[in-house]
Order: sequence, then C-alpha cells, then structure tokens
Amino acid sequence: MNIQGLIIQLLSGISSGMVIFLIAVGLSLIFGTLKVLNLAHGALYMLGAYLCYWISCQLSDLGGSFWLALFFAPLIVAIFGGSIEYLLLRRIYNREPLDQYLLTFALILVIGDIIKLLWGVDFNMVPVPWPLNGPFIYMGYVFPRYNLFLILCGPIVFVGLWALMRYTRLGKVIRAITYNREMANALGTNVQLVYTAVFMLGCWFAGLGGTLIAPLTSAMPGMDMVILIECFIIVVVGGLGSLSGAFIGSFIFGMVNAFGILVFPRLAIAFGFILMIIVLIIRPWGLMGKPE
Amino acid sequence: MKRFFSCKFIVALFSFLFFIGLAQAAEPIKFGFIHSLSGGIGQVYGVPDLAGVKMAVKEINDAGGVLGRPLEVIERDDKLSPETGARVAKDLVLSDKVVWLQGNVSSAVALAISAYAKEVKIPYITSAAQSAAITGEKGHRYVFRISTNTTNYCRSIANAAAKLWGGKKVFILGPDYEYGHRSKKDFMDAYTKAVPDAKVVGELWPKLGNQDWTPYISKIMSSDADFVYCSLWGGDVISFTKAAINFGYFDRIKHCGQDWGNMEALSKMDKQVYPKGVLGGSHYPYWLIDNPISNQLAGKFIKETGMYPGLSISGYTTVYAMKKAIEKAGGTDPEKVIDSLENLEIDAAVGKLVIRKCDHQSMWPFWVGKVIVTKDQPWPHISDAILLDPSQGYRSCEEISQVRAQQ
Repeated sequence: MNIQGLIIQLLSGISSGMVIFLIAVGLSLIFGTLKVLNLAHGALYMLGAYLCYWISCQLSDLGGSFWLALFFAPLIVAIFGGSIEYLLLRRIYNREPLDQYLLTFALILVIGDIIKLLWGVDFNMVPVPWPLNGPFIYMGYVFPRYNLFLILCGPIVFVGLWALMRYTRLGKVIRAITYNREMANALGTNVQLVYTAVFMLGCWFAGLGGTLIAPLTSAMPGMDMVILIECFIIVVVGGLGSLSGAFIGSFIFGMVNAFGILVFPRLAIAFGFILMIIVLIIRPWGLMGKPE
Repeated sequence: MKRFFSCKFIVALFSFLFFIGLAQAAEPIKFGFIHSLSGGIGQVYGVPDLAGVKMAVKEINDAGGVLGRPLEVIERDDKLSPETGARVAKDLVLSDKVVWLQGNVSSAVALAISAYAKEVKIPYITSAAQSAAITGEKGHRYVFRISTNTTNYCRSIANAAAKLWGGKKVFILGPDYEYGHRSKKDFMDAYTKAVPDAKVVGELWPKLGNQDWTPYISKIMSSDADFVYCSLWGGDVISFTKAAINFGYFDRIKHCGQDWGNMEALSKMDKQVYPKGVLGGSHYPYWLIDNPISNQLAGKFIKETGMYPGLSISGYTTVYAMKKAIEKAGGTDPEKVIDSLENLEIDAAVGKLVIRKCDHQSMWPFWVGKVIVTKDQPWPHISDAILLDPSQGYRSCEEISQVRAQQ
C-alpha cells in the first residue's frame, strides 16, 4: 500500500475514533461521577439518531434542517435522560450494582420499543448536510468532507469538556463530588442536583453522538447494542471516569480497527476485543484510570 | 302408502345427497403461508409476498377457483425463528388441514419447515429463502422452490462481470457469516472458469449491520484490484452506499454484487444517493420484461398494494403453479400433486418457468445489469441486463445427486 493509501487509512481511523469518543465520553462521565454504569447509553444514542432523522424530516423545507436537529436532538435526549434520573435512577444509587444494571438494561428494552413504536423498523436515511456533503479532494487525496468535520468535533468536545471541568464552578463542583462525595455534601453542595446535571450532560453527549452519526449511516434498529459494546471497549481501555482516557481509548480503538483490517482482514471484528483483553490483563484500571 | 313413502323418501335422499355433494364441491382448498411478517425483514419481504398471494387467490377465485373450489390462504408469522416456523407449520397441517405450505425468506426457517414437510408428507414450496442447500444438499421429495437460489445469483454475477470487465484482480467484500463466505466461493468458482487466472487480491469481512464503513472504503479505494465483488445485502447495501458516495467511490471503483440491483434495496434510495454504475442483480425487473403476464401484473400490483413487485412475486407465482398442478392431478392428494409439479412448465411473469424434477428447483432467471436513474422510474434500477441461461446458472442434476450422496 502506498503512502497516500496509508494516510487515508490513518484519517479513517481517526474519524472512526472521534465518532466513538463523542459517545463514549458520556458513558465515562456518568460512571466517573455517579458511579453508575449506564447500560442504556446506547439506547439514548439511538434515540438521538432517530430524533435527528425526525427533525430533519419535519423541517426539510427549511434550509439547514440538520443543523437545527443538531441543536435540538441532544437537548431532547438530555431532558429525557434527566427525567429518567429523577424518576428512576435516584432511587437506586445506594443499592448494589446489580440492581443498577438491571434497571438500565430494562431501559434499553423500553427505549428500543418506544422507538419502534414511534418510527417503525425501517432504515431511516438522513442526508449529509450542506456544505459537508461530497468528497474533499486535495492533490489526489480523496476523503469525505463530513468525516473531516467529525475529526474536528472530537478535539473541540474534548477541549470544551476539559475547560468546563477545570475552569467553571460547575466543573469544580463535579470534580469535588467525584473525589469525595460525603465531604462535598457536608460542605453544602446540592449533590442530588449535580448528579442530575451530570447525568443530563452524559445523555446530551449520547444524543450528540447519535445525531452526528445519522448522516453517516442511518437511523436503524440494533444500532444501540453495536455502539454500546464499542463504548465498553473504549472505557475499559481508557479507564472509567477519565476524560483523557476516553479520548486516548477512542483514538487507539479507531487506529486498531483501521489498520487491523489492513493487516488481518479476517480478524476485523475481533481487534477491538483483543485490545480490551490485553488491557484488562496488563492494566485492568485502564490506561488513564486509577487503580482502586 | 308404502309407494308414497318410498317415492318421497327417495327424492329427499337424492336432494340430500345432491346438496352434500354441492357443499363438498364448494369446500375451499386451504393452504398455509408462513413468512416473516413483522419487523424490518417482514416489511421488505413478507408483507409484499402475502399481498401478491392474496392478489393471486382473488384472481383465481373470481375466475371460478381450482376444480370449482375456492382457494383460501391462512397466514402465519414465523418471526424469523425456526422453532416458531416449525410450530405454526404443524398447526396449519394438523388443525387447519392445509393442502400445501409456502413462504419464508429465512433459509434457517425454511430448512426447519422442510424437515417437517418431509415428516408429514405435505408439499412445501419456499418462495424467498435462497440457500442452495434447501433444494440441494438437504432437498427431498416434499420441498420445492419457486424462486432463484444462491448458486444462480453468484454464477449470474460472475458471468456478467466476466463479460463486461474480465479483470483478473478481485477484491472481496462480504458480511462475516455463512452467506458471505459461501457467496465468495460460488462467485470465484464460476468467475475463474470464465477468467482462468483471476485471483483474490484482498478481502474484507465486516460484521452484518456494520455502521462505520470509512476504514473499509478507504482500504478498497487504495487497493489495486480491478473490481470488487460484494455480497452485502439489505440494510448494509444502503448504509455502505451512503458512506461510499462521500468518497466518490462509485466514480472510481468497479463494484458488483447480487443484492445491488434489487428493488428491495434500491427503492429506498433516491436519485442523488445511489450506487451509480454498479453491476447488480434483480429477481424481477419488470421494467425490462415484456410479456403479457408481467405487463399486467406489475401495474396491478403497484396499484392495488401500493408496493413495488420484486422477490415478492414468487408467492404469486407459486399459487398459480399449485393451481395448475392440482388441476393436472385432478385433486389435492399430496403425492399426485407432487408428481404433477415435477417438470411442470408454467407461464409466469418472469417467462416460461420449469420446475425441475431432480431437485424441485424452478429455473428462475436472474437479471444482472448496471444501476442507473431514469425519468420514468421513481428510484434507481438496473438496465441493459445480461441473463445467464438457467441451465448453467443452477447446479446440474448430476452435481445435485453428487452433493446429496455426500450427506
């Protein structure tokens, strides 16, 4: 394979990685602060994709319907997530993890069926929005514009979230609660409210991921489980609860997939899992996580 | 008194027997239709097939039925599960006393029902399950197929690719399960007969339902293959096309595959985002076929059901085939009907169709052409189709008896 091919493959890997990062970061954030592994994360991502499709369809006469969907769909998913947290999750924080998994797993099935009820079981195509449709051609290199856009989104989100955590009051409060919940509570922070806020933020990311991926593939049933498994690989490799871990984990995952299929195409499906197994054996708390 | 009694009695008796006879004559011929009727697959395959079947039943009944008796279809959902399929087949045979069973798109379900049909000695005609094994390795007296199969697909595509391109370096892209790998084998076996030094220079095996095609597309585009043989189907065709358009893939790469010309996938695309120039196959490209049955059927199907005819006309064709077989047999006795079905020639929308005796496979042709858009068709479709003679497309009777002997 020539240099040109390798560079394109590298870009493919980065773009895959950045897409996964946007979704995995929400999962990691929720676990880091709430100590809850939200199994329904994939279902919320799927909801974001379907909302993107629905909003784009409703507003298709308006120009820029995708961009409107990009604004509203994650917001709707976040509000939906907030109501889940307020009504359901709140009651089980102190229970053992198994109860949390059962609840969030049940949510996968419920959300999945609601989506089927509302939108049917067909494949729903969302057109790639102007001005990002079509290929970007430069000196003989061809790469889709929309994928380049996604590559940019990853670092923007990473830097934005990092700045939020470091420089804003909310970020400091979140970090305090993550570090020591009892002390933060004793000092007067409304832990309950922050939990809801963090959960909503995590769901917002899931919805964002779904909205951004909809033009790339389509909104279809089953997309929740596929992405959930990939997110698990990312957070295991990167370290649960770590922002930079999610970023690095996604990057490695994208690279491994893109170059794995170059070297061993028949094992393509297995690469992500092999990576996860290696990390679990050598460094079980993930690359950027802390040993418990 | 005796005479009067006996006279009236005889009249009454004859009237009674006459009306009994009449009721017998009008008793419907029931048949079972088992298919996936729910979910995404159901919407694409099962629902249109049932619509076609109901259309056939109405046409036949309006014209007087079969041997004076009306046809009655009883439909059941197999939910894509072999256990469910076998269970509803059992209900249909034992409780509803159906004369035959037909349907199914899932080869796994079809094999389960086929095994049951063999047990109870009732004919089963699969209309959409495509695995060659159903009438090949696992075929028997009680199973039939009025549709194409995987061998014919792959050989037809190979034939067209050899005629139009003839490239020696082949790149394989397929879903990573039995169907994908079997397609590669059947395609390369047929292609290397026509282009002897052809070889596989690269292969990719994404999982069924893969979402991110970017690394696959970029790898294919940087390879030096002459063309790509792609056995992706259904939703994967749609999502791959969407992703590939943004790479300018279809302007740069020669791409072929059995499911790339099918109405089921292409009717979901629009005239901007479609696999332009791809060599794809179709079971029933009604816009390319000109015979009285097809011309009438296509328009009627679209108008009455609101759906487009594709693989779904297998069910319609099967009902008419069974009508002819029952009329030829003079009744619904399963063994006589099966004898009549063997080597039966029917006038179908796809042309004259023969149901071969040795494996009960119909010689259904498979059209392969390049995908284009035109003004008169609302969605992208194939054109300039190449047809492989079915006698070469399907395995010969010798090959069938050989593979069955190996079981």
